[in-house]
Amino acid sequence: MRLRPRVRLHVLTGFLGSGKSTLLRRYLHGSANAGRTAVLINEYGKVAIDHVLVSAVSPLSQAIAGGCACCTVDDALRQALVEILAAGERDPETAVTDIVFETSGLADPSRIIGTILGDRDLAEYLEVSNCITTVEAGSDTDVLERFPEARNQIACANRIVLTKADLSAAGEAARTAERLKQMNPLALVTSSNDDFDLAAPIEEPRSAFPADAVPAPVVHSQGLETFHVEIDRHMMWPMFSVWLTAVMHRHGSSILRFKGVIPLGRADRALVLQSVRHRVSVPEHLQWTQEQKDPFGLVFICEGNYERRIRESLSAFASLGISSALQLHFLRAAHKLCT
Amino acid sequence: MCEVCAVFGRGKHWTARASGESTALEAFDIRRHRDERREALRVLNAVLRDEGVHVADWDGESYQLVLPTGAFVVAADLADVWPALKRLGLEAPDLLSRQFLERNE
Repeated sequence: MRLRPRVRLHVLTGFLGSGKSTLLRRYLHGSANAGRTAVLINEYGKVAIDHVLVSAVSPLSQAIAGGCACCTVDDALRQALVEILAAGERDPETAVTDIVFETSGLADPSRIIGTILGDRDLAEYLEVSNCITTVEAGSDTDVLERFPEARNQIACANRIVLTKADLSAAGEAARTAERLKQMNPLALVTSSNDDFDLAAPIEEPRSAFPADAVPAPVVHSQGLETFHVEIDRHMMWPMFSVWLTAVMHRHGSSILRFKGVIPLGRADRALVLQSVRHRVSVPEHLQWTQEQKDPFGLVFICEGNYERRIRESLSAFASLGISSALQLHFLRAAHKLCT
Repeated sequence: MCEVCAVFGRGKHWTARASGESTALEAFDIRRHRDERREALRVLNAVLRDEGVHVADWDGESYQLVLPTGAFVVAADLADVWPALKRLGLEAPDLLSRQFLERNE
């Protein structure tokens, strides 16, 4: 008999750029239980960017980078879960009550849930409470048609959160919600604008998480390439934005996603930049210290062979140099910091 | 431009929202933003030097693309510069192409 309740695991999934991290950060900012919620973030690329953003609001966050947890890094996921649970057993006073696992945008959550529930040690201490899938309003006509990963994520959810409704055309969010209800009538479909407690149990939980679930084979879309490109700290925003807009104009349909941290010409700030297909978000400022070892760079997910071409193009672009007026600004900014 | 005080600010496009202390305020740190715009124009003209088109500032937020014949179009923001080339009968350069790389080696 268990004397303490199992730790609740919430799998947060959704296709590339559908707003998982934004939802997670909002939850961590607003939830009274955030201090007892551990966060695990799986990223498809070798360098974890989301973790940098979430760690600013959750010291209990960890990154699992370098592949998708549903197929290549499930050992790392298991190890991270075991460590969290073991820490709770050692010190019940500070034990976490909830774990949020943010999957990569290409993950099949049913396989992850199957892996966890199929592990006797983990199943003894964990219960899968929710599988929350974020879906961008209006993306059903493109993303859901093209990518089986996105359809799997919807099929597995017991809660679907419609995101970016404010960026979509009138009526599009309602139409997407209707389609999602048809695809998964068992899930609760809500909007990211609604009051939202990510860890709240759903009254009628979907019975889709049987302990004997057999994970289906993973079939990721063919020809997807993920890579990290370092950005030279002298590559400043004006130059970089010209390069990026030109590249996105010609290749935006093949560059499914990019996300990363780029230099701003100041020692204490950097810019977080991300896109979903042609749509690039307004850059966010991030507090940045010189002690941080992470280099500036972007993780790209592309259809086709882009890694070499993007590296070479950025390198060639850097040869265009930087104007003396802007150099003066950077000198002033550096001087301000030192005095 | 701020319609109330007629001060040129920064545009609402994501390319205009990076610099300064805040990505939200319209005219904050505007001098740096102006210098960055000048820098973007210098880079744009370097990239487009073989296309026979000159890009100039338009209203502090947009860009004017001018041909030697005097024909011109206005691009609403930096991302619109590339589709605007088509409106002038030109093709946007492919910065990932071998041709571009060789030219800038």
